[in-house]
Amino acid sequence: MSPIIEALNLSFRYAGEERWAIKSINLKIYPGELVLITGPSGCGKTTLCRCFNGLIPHFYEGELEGILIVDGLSIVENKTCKLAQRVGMVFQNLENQLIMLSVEDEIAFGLENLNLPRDTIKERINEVLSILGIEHLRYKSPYELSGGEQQKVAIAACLAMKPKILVLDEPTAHLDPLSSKVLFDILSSIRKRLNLTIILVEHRLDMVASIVDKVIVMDKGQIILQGGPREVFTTPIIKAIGIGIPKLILLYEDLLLNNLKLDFPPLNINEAELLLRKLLSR
Amino acid sequence: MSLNIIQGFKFNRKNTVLHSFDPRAKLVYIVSVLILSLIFSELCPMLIIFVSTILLIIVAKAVNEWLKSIKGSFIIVLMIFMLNYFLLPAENALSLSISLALRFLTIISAFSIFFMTTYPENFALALIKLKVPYDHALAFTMALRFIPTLAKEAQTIIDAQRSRGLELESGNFIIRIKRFTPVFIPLFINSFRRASQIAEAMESRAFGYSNKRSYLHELSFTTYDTLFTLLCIILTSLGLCIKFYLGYSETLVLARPWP
Ligand SMILES: Nc1ncnc2c1ncn2[C@@H]1O[C@H](COP(=O)(O)OP(=O)(O)OP(=O)(O)O)[C@@H](O)[C@H]1O
Ligand SMILES: [Mg+2]
Repeated sequence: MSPIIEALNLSFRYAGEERWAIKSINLKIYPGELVLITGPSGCGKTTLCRCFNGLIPHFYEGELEGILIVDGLSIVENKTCKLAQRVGMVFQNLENQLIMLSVEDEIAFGLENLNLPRDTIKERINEVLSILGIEHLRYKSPYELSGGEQQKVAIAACLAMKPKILVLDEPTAHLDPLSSKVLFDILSSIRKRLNLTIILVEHRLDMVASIVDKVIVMDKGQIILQGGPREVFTTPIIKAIGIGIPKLILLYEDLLLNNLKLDFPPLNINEAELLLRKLLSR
Repeated sequence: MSLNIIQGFKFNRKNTVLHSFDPRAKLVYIVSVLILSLIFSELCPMLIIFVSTILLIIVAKAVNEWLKSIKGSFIIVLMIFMLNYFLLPAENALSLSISLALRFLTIISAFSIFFMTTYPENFALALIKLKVPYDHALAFTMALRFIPTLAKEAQTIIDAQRSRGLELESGNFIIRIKRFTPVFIPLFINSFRRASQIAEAMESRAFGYSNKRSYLHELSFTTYDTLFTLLCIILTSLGLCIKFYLGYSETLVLARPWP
């Protein structure tokens, strides 16, 4: 299978800045993967996301080096409005991405831009409202909604455009733990149903560790680790960066220091329970 | 108080004849009310126009919201009445000041009918039909959308500045305006960031993809709209005739039963 996103030595420097916000990024993301991007504040996660749908270099000015191909299209030659059908983007700020007066219109906005026929627009609105279970919000105004609801609307508005890739930049920054859990459950269910590739920037590693296929750890504009979650989270240098390593991984390593080896690093409670039972019965 | 005024201008989703009217027909209605209430200053025609707006508000099932709005603007109405009553040298100062206060009420009620029964998106569509470019219509919709957001943000900033000792309530008008500077500046700066984030989000949803765009909603000017528009035009013409051709007092004489 060929990658749906491929970056080769991608670097970007914002106009007027001396430092490269991202530097020599190499990555391959395959169709259907759920990829987690994490790293300390200011390491360039948002900047990388902006590249995925061409906001960099078309909306943000600066110097771009290297190549980024998204679903067969180069971001240099294709503007954001063209990439929008392939890459849906959910921004960190909830309110500023909801610009219309009702949820229905919000979802319709992108489809109207694409000049789709009215019937198709209506069909797609019904479809995404039901996928996200927000039919009851249809006529509400964005400002009447809770953070979790706004988040779902933003996702619905992206999904209506039938993208192959969904990028979410710190989607839980303004959500409580319960709404965050709900969001992650939704993500892991829609990715299979819609065959989506999902890129998730997130700090709450405890909650997402068990649903992601691949983890990319960034620091100071560069990718320093990438791979499967068990492998990445147990790499020793990860401790030096200052990201919140999942507690179950810490437990695994603690046990290891005491010569109690679980079969593999657990990523969720069920796994941990199973492995601990096995260890105890030994 | 300020929030209550908004109540009477917010769209409420109900199913009435007025809600189904085309926004263009309702625009004609507003213009008619404006013309009629501005050409007459006599109490009797003003009462007639005022009662007609109230009837429409009842038809629109929006009495409660309207009342809240009126309550919110009560001080202004009272001021209009008092100022005129005490400052007008005319001998019929009482009836004149009542009708001037009524004029104000009538005009805000007409606008309130429009905004309460017109789905904002349809208003934007009507603007587009009236050859306003889409971008401008969109800007209008977005302005409406972000009013509550900005209001909330302003309140947050006010609270923050107050907690650092900023006093906003005391002093005369000029002093108060000056004291609001530490509120306006962050609000102003924030809106630049907001504008950029909004633009970014819009492009990410294919804004600017093509010169053509489709619309979810459609406007249709029905027979009822035509009838309503005609009625407005006829009544306005009648009013204009009475005022400028027949003369108001002469019409009264004509209308009086013959002895
Ligand atoms: N619009 C911009 N103009 C200039 N510099 C920027 C801009 N946006 C980000 N930067 C700079 O680029 C670097 C990377 O920022 P970025 O927002 O990508 O980091 P991040 O990993 O998303 O951080 P956070 O976790 O705080 O969201 C930072 O040094 C930041 O100051
Ligand atoms: Mg960021």
